[in-house]
Amino acid sequence: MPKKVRNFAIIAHIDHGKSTLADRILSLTGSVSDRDHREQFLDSMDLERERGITIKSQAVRLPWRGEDGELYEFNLIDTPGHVDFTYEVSRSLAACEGVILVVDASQGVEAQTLANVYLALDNELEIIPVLNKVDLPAANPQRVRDEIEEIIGLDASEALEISAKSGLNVPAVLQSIIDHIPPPADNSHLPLRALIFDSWYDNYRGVIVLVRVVDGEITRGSTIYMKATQKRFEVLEVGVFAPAPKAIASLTSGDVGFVVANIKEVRDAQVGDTIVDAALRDELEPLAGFKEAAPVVFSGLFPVISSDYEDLREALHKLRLNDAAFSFEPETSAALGFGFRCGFLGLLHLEIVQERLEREFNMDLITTAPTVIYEVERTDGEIVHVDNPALLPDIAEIRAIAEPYIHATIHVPTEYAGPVLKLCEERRGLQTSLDYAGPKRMMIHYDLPLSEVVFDFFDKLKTITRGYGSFEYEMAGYRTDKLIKLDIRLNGEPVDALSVIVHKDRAYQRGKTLCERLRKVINRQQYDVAIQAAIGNQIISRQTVKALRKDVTAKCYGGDISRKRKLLEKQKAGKKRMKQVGNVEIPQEAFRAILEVD
Amino acid sequence: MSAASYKNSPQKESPKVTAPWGIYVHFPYCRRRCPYCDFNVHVQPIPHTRYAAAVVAEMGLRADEAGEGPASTLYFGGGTPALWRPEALARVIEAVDARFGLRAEAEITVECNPEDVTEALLISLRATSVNRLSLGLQSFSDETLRFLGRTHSAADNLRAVATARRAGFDNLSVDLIYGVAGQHIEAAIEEARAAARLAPHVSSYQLTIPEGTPFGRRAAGGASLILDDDLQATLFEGVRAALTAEGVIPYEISNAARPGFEAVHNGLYWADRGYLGLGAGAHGFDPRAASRWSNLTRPDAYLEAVEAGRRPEAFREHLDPVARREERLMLGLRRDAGVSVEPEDEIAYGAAARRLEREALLLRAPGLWRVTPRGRLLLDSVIAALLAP
Repeated sequence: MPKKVRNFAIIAHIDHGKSTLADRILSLTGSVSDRDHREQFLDSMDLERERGITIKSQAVRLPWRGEDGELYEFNLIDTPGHVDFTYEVSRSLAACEGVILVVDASQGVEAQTLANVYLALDNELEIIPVLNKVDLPAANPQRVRDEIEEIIGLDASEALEISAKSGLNVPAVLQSIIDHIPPPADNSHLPLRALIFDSWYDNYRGVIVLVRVVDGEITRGSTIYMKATQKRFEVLEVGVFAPAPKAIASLTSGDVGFVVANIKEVRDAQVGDTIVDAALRDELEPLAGFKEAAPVVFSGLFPVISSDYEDLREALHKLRLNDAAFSFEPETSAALGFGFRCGFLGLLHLEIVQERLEREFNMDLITTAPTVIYEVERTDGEIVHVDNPALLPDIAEIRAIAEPYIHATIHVPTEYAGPVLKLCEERRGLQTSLDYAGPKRMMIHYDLPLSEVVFDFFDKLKTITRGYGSFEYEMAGYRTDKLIKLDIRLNGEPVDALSVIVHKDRAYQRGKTLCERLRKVINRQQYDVAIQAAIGNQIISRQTVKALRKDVTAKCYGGDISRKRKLLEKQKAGKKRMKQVGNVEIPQEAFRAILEVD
Repeated sequence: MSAASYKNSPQKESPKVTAPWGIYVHFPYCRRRCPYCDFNVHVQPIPHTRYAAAVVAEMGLRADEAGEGPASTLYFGGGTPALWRPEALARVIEAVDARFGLRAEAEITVECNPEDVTEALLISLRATSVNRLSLGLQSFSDETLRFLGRTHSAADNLRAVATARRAGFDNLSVDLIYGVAGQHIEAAIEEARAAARLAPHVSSYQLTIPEGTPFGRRAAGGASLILDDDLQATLFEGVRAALTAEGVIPYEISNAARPGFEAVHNGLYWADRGYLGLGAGAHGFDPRAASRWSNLTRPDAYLEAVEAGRRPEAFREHLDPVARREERLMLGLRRDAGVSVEPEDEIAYGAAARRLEREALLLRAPGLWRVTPRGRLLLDSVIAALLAP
């Protein structure tokens, strides 16, 4: 007899109402009482709530009595919702048999909706479309139904019209989960194989691993083996989130739940890895789809105050316990001293790590311009990978530099297609196709250098499409191009942390803009400061910050010395945040200026 | 103060030499507020007698914070203390003398605006022991005075100085403001020269634009109200040179005097000495307790507190030894004579001082540091570089 279990996720474009629907389902199933009903229960981190995105996924077990009077066990698996986390989404979906596709009845189908649908189709999941926000005046359910049929090719004639906010038709959604999403296959007779679809570090329990048991069962006290990381662990506890964690005897084929096994860092329980019975470690094949989390964007993180270096190291260690995708290793910069070269999945991931360091660990950081990994062919034929412009080999030793490309898919209302094409061309993109997706929408495909995307591409896209454009990408190998290193010198001294690798045709413009920006953020000092952009020994642009001639408070009025000292304290604090290169003081903003170049 | 009153003071038995200290009395009332002013100033009816009584009462509340021995200075600042009825002001001076004593040679200053300087006022002030006037002339250009929102003319300035001289006030200080947008360097320097010929003490301040003032709002809106830094620097040095040429020698960032006419009271601030602040919004410093405080700024709040027998305090901070040392250097370096350096200063800041010396910003002599002319122009940065190496 098949289990009365349904494993499903909710997928949606940002702001189409995924979290609101999840909240509504939690309260309908009585899993979260109104008293402790937080807004958007599943988004547990402050940062996530602030940014309105879900970063970590969770899985909640919910009881629901179907119209047939039977009690069903729903496992709602939450998924992250940003392009930087596509892989994590795909693994969460692999733990499900079906998804609820939430489409905003006024906005219609967006690129992210589509990308998630493709992931669901890849995993052969049942898709239940629902039209959300039908109570809004701008809602146009029929148009959106047509879009779903035209663009996605799903039959939307029976799509439920709901309002997650008011609760309208949400019980019908739960019934359609029972009716349309198949129960998981029962392979409990086979030896254990379970998919890890999320893991995080808990201060008390070590790493908590979320699994979908595919074959066999996991019980407390058994010994398990991770196929990819090749590590053995003894299971201390298995359980489910209901939504509070609850220990149970075992998780069997088809179940979703958590495993605690004295695992010290999330690297040892990577998303997508397969847990097998340790006794059969070599006989059992891993489940398909594992990819090692590989950072693609690199940036130097330096403490503003040099003596915070050890604290930064410790903070990074703690973060990595909980983030397998993030890497770091010591880096030394002539300008910034000791710091760390860190790798990220993308710019959002970088920003999240940076913010967590600043907020949770009180670190004061200088972040250098993000860069991609370049493939440098030396004249002796050796290929080296460079993730730091400062470490690029000497120009005479370079035969060619290749940079990573992406296949980008941009989904946009037709009226914004022009500006999007212009943006992609400016970013050295090569158009691969341009399709109408319905009468008023276009799907634009470009191959773009990743380096052109990591800066502010996504923000720009949002701006020029008034938020209607959305963007998906996948890596597309390396291509050789005319790439050179652009150095910045302050009073003749090269500042390694300000070096960037740029396309030759853009070097002049970029150098000029950079010098102008730096002139604005570098304060006048006791000497003239010459800001130069250089390619090798050739200076291509120059700006001067004239020496400060006067900086003196005229008056200490009426003996108000406290005010004067407060100003001094402010000045001292400001000085601490400066980095000294030669005789030039560089403010934190200078390193940020590199990012804003356009 | 007279020798007789000194003998009557409570400290007469103590023959030892005590550290000089002063008293500052803030008079918070003005007829109108100048657009660049962020001092504690209120335009409202003046309760002459009540305010004097409160200041006198505050002396009792703060007796333990006064310095030892009779005071060296008494300074009436504002606001516009010349608006205070002379008998009220006289009552405060008498109370100071009775409670704390005033040294025979004590400097007793009252700030005045030129339009308030009348023969009648000065005769009344002469009848008290006031012996120094600080006149807010600000400029000898009617255009600049109008721009600054002043209600007196350049002619009023000259008349005020003459009236003061005639009334027997030789110890005069005049205030100048310069660096106003559009001002010609030569004209501003000429004004400094004129001031030096009129008075033995000149305070010349570069116009600053505090936030929250009408000028501050105009500047925030993009108006350019002051000369740019480079012209200010030229002007700063030009003014000092002109004053020096006239025999009025700069001895602090903004102050210059003929020898013997240096301001004693302001000197206390720069020399790390104590001062008892009395009145609404006044600031005080007690070096023995390493404690700074300031009073409630609103006159009604101040009056109510004192009348209820409470200290009218708004703020107090205790300075740790590091803060004390930093203040001593920060203030001492404002003086042309420099600041005397203790062995512990050498230990804490010697390396930074040597660096500043190499950059020709600081001069180091045994036991003494002072800034170079270039260091003076960059004093705020120099102090920050010295104290936060």
